[in-house]
Amino acid sequence: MNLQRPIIVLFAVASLFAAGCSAQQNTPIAQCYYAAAGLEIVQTAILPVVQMPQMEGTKAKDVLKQISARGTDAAVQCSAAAKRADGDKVSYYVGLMQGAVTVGGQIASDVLARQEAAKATDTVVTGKTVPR
Amino acid sequence: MAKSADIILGIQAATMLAGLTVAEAPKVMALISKLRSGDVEITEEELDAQVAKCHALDDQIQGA
Repeated sequence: MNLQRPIIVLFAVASLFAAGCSAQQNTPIAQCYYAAAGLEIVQTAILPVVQMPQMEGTKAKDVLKQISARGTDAAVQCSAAAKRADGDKVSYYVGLMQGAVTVGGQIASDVLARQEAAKATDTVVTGKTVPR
Repeated sequence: MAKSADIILGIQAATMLAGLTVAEAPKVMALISKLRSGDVEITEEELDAQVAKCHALDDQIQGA
């Protein structure tokens, strides 16, 4: 059984839980920290996906790169806002990071699921897995 | 709003599965320890380090 998809989905959920936890603490620096930790986890999942040879030149790869870039920019801005104790800006940037975590995790998960499905089809037709 | 116990359970469930293939488990376990110990005070240095990790990963993603 392929565990990559549930792992990514669960990590995305864990990230959101972590961000929710930070909201409970209500400390701008902690909110930022947990949201950035969630972003890092999803970036870890995105990295092997964008490195796949079959992803070259695809829209999904461009989108994942954009999501990672926007999320990282939000993390930098969030950090600066947290140090200024600007709670409103922190909430805004945490929201952006949560969006990047949710959408990035979902796209990476879908790409992996499609790849697994294609691999399974190749196996059924030819009796062996065909390199792509 | 999720309670702390729910948060810990959610992260633990993710960690148990992720421990099979993803090298992120120690990081998440550290987060769980932190939540359990009640030591939730995050310093600016920790935040900076976390943002730097995101930056490093993003550089790799952009270069892929």
